[in-house]
Amino acid sequence: MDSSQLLKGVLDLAVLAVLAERDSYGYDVVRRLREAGLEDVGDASVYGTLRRLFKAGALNSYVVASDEGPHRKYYGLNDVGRSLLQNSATTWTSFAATMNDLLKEVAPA
Amino acid sequence: MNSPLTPKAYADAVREALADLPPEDRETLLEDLHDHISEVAAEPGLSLEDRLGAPEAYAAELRAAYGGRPAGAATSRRGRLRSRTAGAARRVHTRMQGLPPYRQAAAFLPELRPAWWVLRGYAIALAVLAPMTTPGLIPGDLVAWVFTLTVVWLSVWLGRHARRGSRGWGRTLLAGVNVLAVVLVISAMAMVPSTSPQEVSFDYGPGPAEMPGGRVMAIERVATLDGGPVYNILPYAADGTPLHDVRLYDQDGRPLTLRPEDFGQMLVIPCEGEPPLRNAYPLPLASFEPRSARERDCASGSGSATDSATAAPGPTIRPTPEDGEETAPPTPAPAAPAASTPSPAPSRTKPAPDRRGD
Repeated sequence: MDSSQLLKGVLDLAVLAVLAERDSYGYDVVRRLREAGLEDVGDASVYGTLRRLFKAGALNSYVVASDEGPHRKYYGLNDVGRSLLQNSATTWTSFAATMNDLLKEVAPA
Repeated sequence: MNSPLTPKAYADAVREALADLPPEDRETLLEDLHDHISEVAAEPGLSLEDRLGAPEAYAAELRAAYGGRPAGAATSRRGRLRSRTAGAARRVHTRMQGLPPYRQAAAFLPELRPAWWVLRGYAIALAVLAPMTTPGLIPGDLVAWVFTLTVVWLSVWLGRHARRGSRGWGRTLLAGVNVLAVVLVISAMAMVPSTSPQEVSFDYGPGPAEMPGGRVMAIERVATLDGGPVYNILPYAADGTPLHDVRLYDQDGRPLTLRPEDFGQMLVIPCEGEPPLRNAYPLPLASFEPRSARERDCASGSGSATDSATAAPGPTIRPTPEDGEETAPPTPAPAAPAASTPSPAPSRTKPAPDRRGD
């Protein structure tokens, strides 16, 4: 199975989780997701997801001037984003448990 | 590939590829794309395109992540409504799949699609023809048939080609045509029972007709009796005696008349004398024949009516008061033994004279 297909469904959750740790700007989110093990994550996917979550009112944003290079727009969770993360995390956990249960014969963890 | 794209050129190319998005959506999405891409470009080593792929691919990925939909999908409110409706329909469908009858119907319905194409063309063709010819459920003449078959062919062609590459107004038009055809087919099905009784001039409901002599005959929706056409009325008295020359009128005193001519029957008019009243029942009827033949008969019979009658193998059509009105009823025979068992009525079997005329 192509893991990029799986990633599509949970990218929102992954981005929210990364931002819950600390506020980040776009490229930083990409980098941190890759460092966490999601090497296939696409730059455009992360950027699009950030903009969509922002538009949906789950994130706040602020611009930080940087010494070298362009200004950076940082994103962080607001209350909506935190409760969204909470709900999504619960859903994911139970879903993952179900899948693990189904697969425990085939691929023991 | 020539010189690597600058962040600005890359961002502009992405913006270009997303030109079809609604402007405010696009601005929200691309607001700080340039800054973001500059950040990527700041990484040493690879060029932007090596890192991010072609701007078009980047735009497609962006579009998918931002809208959750692939390129080309509508982002308008109407589009969202449509996708939500489709989603609800899909969920219902998935749940209904649990019912075996639904599963079977869903499996064979696609096979009925060609039949629907034919029916659709047929219905639309007849609807178009309706104002020009007498409306009916089959085309009237050869031209109508040719037209109908052409429309059916078109409909089938459309059905076979619509699935691929139909979009926009073509799709809307097709949906409209389908709805129209469904309405036509349903209304045609609703019409069928009402088309069988022929138009008769006294269709107005039940009403007792007073007879001279105190005998009452009830007329109940004569035009639709037995579901078949009525072109004559055979009155009987309560004791089973056939009545002659019974005149029928409606509640306003208008004569109740039928149209036997519409059924290939005609009123037998005596060679000499008054034509019979149109509302005196039973009508003296005979199968339709050209008027000229009857006139010839009258002319040849004018010398001596009895001679011609004996010379001819069949009886003349001249109705005497007795036999002319004795069109023996085949079905509604009264229970009581009829006063005169009617012998084969002469007025009903008389094609002989006109053949002899030639």
